[in-house]
Amino acid sequence: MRIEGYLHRDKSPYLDVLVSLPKGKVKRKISFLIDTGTPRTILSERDALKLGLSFRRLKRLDEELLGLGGFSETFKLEDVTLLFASGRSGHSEQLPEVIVHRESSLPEEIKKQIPSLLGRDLIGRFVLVLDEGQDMVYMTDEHPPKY
Amino acid sequence: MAETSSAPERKASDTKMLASTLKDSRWLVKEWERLKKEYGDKFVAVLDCKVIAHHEDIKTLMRIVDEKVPEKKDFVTTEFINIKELRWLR
Repeated sequence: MRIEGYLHRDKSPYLDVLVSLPKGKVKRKISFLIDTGTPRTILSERDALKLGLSFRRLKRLDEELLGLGGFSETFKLEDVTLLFASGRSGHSEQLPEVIVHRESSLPEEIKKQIPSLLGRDLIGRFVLVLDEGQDMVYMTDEHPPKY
Repeated sequence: MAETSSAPERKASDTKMLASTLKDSRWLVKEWERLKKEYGDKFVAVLDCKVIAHHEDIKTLMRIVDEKVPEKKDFVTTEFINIKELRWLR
């Protein structure tokens, strides 16, 4: 099984995901930046709005999220399904919790550029292959042999 | 009564649609400089390697998308085309 991604302009690796919320009421294609430095998958404000989420209705997390830009407000989505294009039937993964973050202090023009992050809670389930020279990024369940 | 598709059928259909839109994501990256001149500081919605809608507000953009391509609305690629280049530390 192989899930193909693409490299953005700055060579950052991205994967397209069909994000579905419980009861199948909401689903949208979201492009995630693959970020091995992030322990948990995070939905950015712009992508939360793309999904039609209302911050007033989201469950707030007690913990604040510390990033390079400082602290941000955090919310959570539960039981999120992520569908990846792979083969004919696709491949889906469940995440019990996805963080939604909002950085109120940043200008709108900056917030609009902040992508969602695919964290190690999901990436860690796969083998990640990144080869900028070949313009190639993919995740696979074919593990290399142990030495 | 209208027929409803089963969960495996829906998954297969969603997969097919999602796979077909990977080319839109790649097209957007490839055409960035051209799109910047036309749609700078706006969100664009891309389907079948074409810009089908643009707006400065993502919620409004998705409303336009929902009306314009109701059968494919969930699979539309969106991106904010920034004029001012930002460099990310991570």
